[in-house]
Amino acid sequence: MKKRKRYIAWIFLAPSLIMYLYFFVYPTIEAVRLSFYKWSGFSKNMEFVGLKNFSKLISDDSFLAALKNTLLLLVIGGIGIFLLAFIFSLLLGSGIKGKKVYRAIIFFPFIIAPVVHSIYWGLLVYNPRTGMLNQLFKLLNIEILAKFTFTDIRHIFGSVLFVVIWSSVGFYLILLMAGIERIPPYLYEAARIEGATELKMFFKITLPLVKEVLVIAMIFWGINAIKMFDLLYAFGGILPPRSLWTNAIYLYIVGFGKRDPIFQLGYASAIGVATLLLVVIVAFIIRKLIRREIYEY
Amino acid sequence: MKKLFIWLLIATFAVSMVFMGIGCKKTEEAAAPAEEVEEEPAEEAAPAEEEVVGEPKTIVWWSLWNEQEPNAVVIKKWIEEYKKVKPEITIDIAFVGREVMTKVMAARSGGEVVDLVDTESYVLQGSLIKEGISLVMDEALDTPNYKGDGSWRDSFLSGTLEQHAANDGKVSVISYNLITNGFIYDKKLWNDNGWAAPKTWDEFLALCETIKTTSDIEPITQDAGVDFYNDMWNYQIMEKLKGPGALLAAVEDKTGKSWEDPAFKEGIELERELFDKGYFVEGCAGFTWPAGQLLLASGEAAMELCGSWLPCELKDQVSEDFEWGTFPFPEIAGGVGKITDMESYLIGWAAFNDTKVGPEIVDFLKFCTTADNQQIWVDETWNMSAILGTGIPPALEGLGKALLDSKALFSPHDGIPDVYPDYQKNIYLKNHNLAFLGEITPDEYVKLMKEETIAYWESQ
Repeated sequence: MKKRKRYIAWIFLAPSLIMYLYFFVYPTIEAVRLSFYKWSGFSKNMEFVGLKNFSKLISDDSFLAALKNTLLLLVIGGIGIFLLAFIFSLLLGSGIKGKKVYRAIIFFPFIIAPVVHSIYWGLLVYNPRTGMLNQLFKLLNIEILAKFTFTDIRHIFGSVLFVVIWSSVGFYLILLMAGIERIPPYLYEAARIEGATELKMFFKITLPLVKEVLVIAMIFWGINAIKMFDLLYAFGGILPPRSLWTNAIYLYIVGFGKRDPIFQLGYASAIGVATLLLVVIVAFIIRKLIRREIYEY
Repeated sequence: MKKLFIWLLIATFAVSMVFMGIGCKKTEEAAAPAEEVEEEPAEEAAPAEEEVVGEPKTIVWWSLWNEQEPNAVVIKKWIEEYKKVKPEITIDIAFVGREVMTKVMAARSGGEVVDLVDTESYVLQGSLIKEGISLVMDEALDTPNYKGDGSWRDSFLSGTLEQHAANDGKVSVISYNLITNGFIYDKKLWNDNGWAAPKTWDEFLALCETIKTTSDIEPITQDAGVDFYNDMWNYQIMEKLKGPGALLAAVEDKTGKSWEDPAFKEGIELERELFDKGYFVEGCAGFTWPAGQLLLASGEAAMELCGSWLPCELKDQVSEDFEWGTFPFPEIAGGVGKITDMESYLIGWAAFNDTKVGPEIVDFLKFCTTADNQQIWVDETWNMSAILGTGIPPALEGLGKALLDSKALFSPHDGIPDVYPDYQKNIYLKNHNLAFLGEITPDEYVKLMKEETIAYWESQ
């Protein structure tokens, strides 16, 4: 009976498995294959160059700068998002009135298209002359900040990082709250009777019991951060400024050209393979760092 | 039961592999003619004589314009008119936007037929021509034009066909849209204030000082968040200091020593002088496009150095009494470049050499490049045309006249992206942008350019 059930399960799995193989595994293998070639993508002329594309990555300043931005986005963005998500989840879980309204407000930026974010923040908020932020500081008579250029070559990455955190925190808040709401209230009641503070309850009850959801949420973020493209790409208007290049943007520029006809699809595939490896490494590290323990309650 | 299940799974995988195989085969078949042609390109030249056409044929054209742009509206008019004279030819056009080459690359890899593409001519040079997969047009260019009153080649402004020819001189790109670069301003505003277009750099500086000190208008606006907009200053200055081709020659110098020429440092110093004297609008370093150009439209800034596409791009943003004025980049004392040395930035067509409708493409392009049809382009898109006998749009009078009188044409960014696009993006624009925005000194710029040029050539 068990064996029969297993066959049926395989039959039902087969269509999605085939699609997965065709739409994910096959292109991945193809990308790995292309990464060993010098190829423009236009003609059939492909020159086998072995590991040359990968050795070029190590000495390519543009790639290294893009990688640095990707890692900053992953780490700083991740810290910002999860810190805020935890703070909001604690506040919303503290019995505050209108919890659903606040949750919806925090979630709202997540449903806005990244291109809209880029136009709104780039032209309306950060504009050094007419932007809301500079105008606000002007009103408050904070001269230094009123003249601060949030989107110049030095500060644009930080400014966009803030937008990324602001627009993503709602999604991760929902994930964490789903985990937190599953924790039985009697655990907190017992802890309170024992005289535990809110902070102690967070570290001793909430965090350990939400660990499983947290791992999934962090892996989600890891993947999203490493492949993030749209918001950063759109932020530059015609062309993403160099300070905003991540692996994904650099891959696109090198592979498909953006005003400049670079068209190095083989090299772009090598960037893609390196990015995939980065995703695997990050997922592995997150799983190792936060070892899952099973709590039954 | 177990065996049956295993066979079922094997059969499912086999079917999926067959599908994958078909997909791959299709791609190979689609690309195969290109490879054959690369071996014998001479056979793929566009036919000189038109075939007698009667049977229905379709030209698949992917265009860089977006459907709502006036450029696309004119193209649709051409197609409609052409349909009246050649009803058997269908022009299957897709307005796919500026990233047309990326989309064409993907489509052709997937086996889709694309016969004709139009985009920036230097992009065509860096893709189709570089790869040897473009239809050579020389033979066709020597045949009569659409009206039969001269050769097709003679319809084009001198130098525009040759500008993006292959290394062996063969022409594949038929350029039609002619863009140039210079200063754009509101003539009414300038007349009201008594400002006149400068002819020399010293006059230009004096004008900026006058604007700054005698009005509440800022002299120059700049979308400084865009590196290739910032580079317009450098390549224009270098054209005036060293003449066309000097920047490109420095790129091609594998020893990097050319960058030690004091002119390259001087170029950066001249740009920085504009910042230091406060001639650029305040905060421009933090502008995300199009924040800078909107200041020209609103009258908060007096001028912008930009491509001649700007009036068309901004015409809906300016007030009713705004009068477009343009003037070329001024001469610099001690430099070899003249005020009449003008940028020629072209947009054109190229066909793939595996197309099955070569004669039809030639006939259609001849139709599109008649002076009458190009005049519609000029009138409705506010662009200039590479075809002789077409006028200059009123908004571009200053630049247009200078371009037609020009004795020396140069490509945007001195032609670096045409030949070395990765160098342009990763070395030249990167370092220039840092220097332009004052993140590095002119000396550091020269040092970086020298070092990175050497490293670039060592890595090739």
